[in-house]
Amino acid sequence: MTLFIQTLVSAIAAGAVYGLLGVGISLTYKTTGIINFAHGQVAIFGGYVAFALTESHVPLGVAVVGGIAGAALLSGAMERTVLRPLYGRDRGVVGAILITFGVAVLLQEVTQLLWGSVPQTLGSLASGNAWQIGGVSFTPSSLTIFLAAIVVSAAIVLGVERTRIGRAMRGCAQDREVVSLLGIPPERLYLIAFTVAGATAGLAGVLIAPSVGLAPGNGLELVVPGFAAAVLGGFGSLPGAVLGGILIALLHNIVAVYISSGYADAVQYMAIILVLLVRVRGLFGDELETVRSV
Amino acid sequence: MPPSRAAAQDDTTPRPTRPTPEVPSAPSDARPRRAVLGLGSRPGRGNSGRPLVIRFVAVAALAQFVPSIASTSNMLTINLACVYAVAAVGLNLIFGLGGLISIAQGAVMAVGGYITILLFGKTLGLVPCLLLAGCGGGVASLTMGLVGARVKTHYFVLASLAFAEVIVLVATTMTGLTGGSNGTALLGVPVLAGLNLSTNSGFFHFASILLLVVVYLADALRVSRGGLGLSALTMNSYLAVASGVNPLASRALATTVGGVFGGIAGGMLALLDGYLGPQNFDIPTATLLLLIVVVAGRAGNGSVVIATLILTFLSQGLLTSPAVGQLVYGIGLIALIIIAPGGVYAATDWSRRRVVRWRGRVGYKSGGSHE
Repeated sequence: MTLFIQTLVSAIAAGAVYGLLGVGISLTYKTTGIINFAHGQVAIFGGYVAFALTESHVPLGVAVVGGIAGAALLSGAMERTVLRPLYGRDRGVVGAILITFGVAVLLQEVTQLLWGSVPQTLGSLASGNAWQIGGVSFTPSSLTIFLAAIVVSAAIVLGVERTRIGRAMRGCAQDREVVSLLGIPPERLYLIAFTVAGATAGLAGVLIAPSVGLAPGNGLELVVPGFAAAVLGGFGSLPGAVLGGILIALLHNIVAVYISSGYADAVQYMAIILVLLVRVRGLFGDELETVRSV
Repeated sequence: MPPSRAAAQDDTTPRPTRPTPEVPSAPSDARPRRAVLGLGSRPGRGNSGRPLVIRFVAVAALAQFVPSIASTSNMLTINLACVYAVAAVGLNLIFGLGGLISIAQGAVMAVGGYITILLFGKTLGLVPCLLLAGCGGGVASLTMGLVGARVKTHYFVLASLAFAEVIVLVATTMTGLTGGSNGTALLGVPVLAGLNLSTNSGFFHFASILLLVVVYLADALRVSRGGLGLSALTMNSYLAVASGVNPLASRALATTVGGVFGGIAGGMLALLDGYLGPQNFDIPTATLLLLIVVVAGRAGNGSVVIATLILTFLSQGLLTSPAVGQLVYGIGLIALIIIAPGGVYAATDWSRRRVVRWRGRVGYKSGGSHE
């Protein structure tokens, strides 16, 4: 029983980070209708910026903020330069998805050219010395990761639900023209969505970097759990993405401990495939958003 | 006053009439003919206008001529291009014709490749292995197609990504069967009708003919009832359904046939390299195939073959510096979609129209000055 509880506790921190990634992916999808394949690579870029700052003897807290800002700027710049020309075009969303795929490939290589292919490590925000409660151990570091990811995710969920800009972002993907008739330029909302999503990706990158390390090719390893979290929670549902992330991490750890660590990574892929086959709208999503009309 | 109907009928003066399309008359009791995989139609008429025999003679001549002038390394690249061309023609059916973005064509190739490498030389001959590879690829791709037929394009991309990663993960984890990360080697020498496929020239003869057949079948599908239905679905799904197109069957057809070609391409790759590993089917392979289809645009399968040849040579040349190679891929993909979303064909067509318009303006201006 202790092993089972330990398995669940160990998954919580990673799950919160997956949820944070899922929130970023869902936010851009909810606003623009675009699935951002470069999201994981943006997270890695944020981690590398923080790493570069710590290498320049900048305090870790400032480096973390720098990493988040770097990722937010990069994501905003991506929207402004390569995605904006496609708005309004015939099959523009399809082109935009392909472009984010190209940006992911490009960012991976740029990261490799800048910082090399050797994996790097970023200092942890809190101590890694384990605390023991009832035979179950957890570290201040994992608790910090969990709290940071959950607080930021909750802030974004509330911001989108309660603020005027947030409501406009929700409406933008459904009817861009109505939003512009209300006096809000959709392009500005798209830029805000990508910038905020970039910031969440940067935070996810700096939170997870101390435990998994930084390597240029890790973008896919981060974006797939993010996608799985978003799909399981219901694409476009921000609270669903948070819950989906935690569920994915729990399943991952259970398979790794009780079945085989080799197949643990398959959990997230299988979750995507099974949800799309059996229950397309996930836990909290909208069926109309997901199922083809014809 | 308008002339009376009788007067109009008596009027024997020949009037210019609009040419009407010939509608083939069918016996009243006959059921409408269905073109299975388009083979009931005439791809030569609908597409390039060249009958299969002429294409076959041209390819046979090319198969004799190219090995005599190309160096060994160039022949290896040309052979690899033939393999990728078969897979890209399949992807062109899924993405270009069906409008479904798939990142899993590399994984579908993996299914065919592993079927070939595991069965050839032990239990089955070359042709049954390739047929099974095609079937395996078709079934794998159809599984994805069933998801894609139900959900919107975005979700199909995610499903294809997950599918691709599962296949690579299985190939890496099942070390007893696939050799894991180290890969597995082909047993025996592949020989077909006296052609030794382990030699460059022998493989090129085989691959070029197979590519010709695949392009022919893909062209046939494009002009068949199913292919036209797919085109209609991509352009306007509501009108297509109102016209009687079955979206589920059409998308399943595109993914299955595209997957069969992908599986055969995987089998060809196993024969060409004599070795397969998960790294043969990773995301860069999927990127290359996707880039080929984007570069080719909507101009047909001939341009897919040309785009494959160019991009394979480019990718092999860039292999000396893999980081720069991927950098070029990324920039190329982004630039193409922004500047020339219809591919190189559309870009050329756009440039030609611009030149014609510019010439017209210059001619008008110079004519005006004379006056």
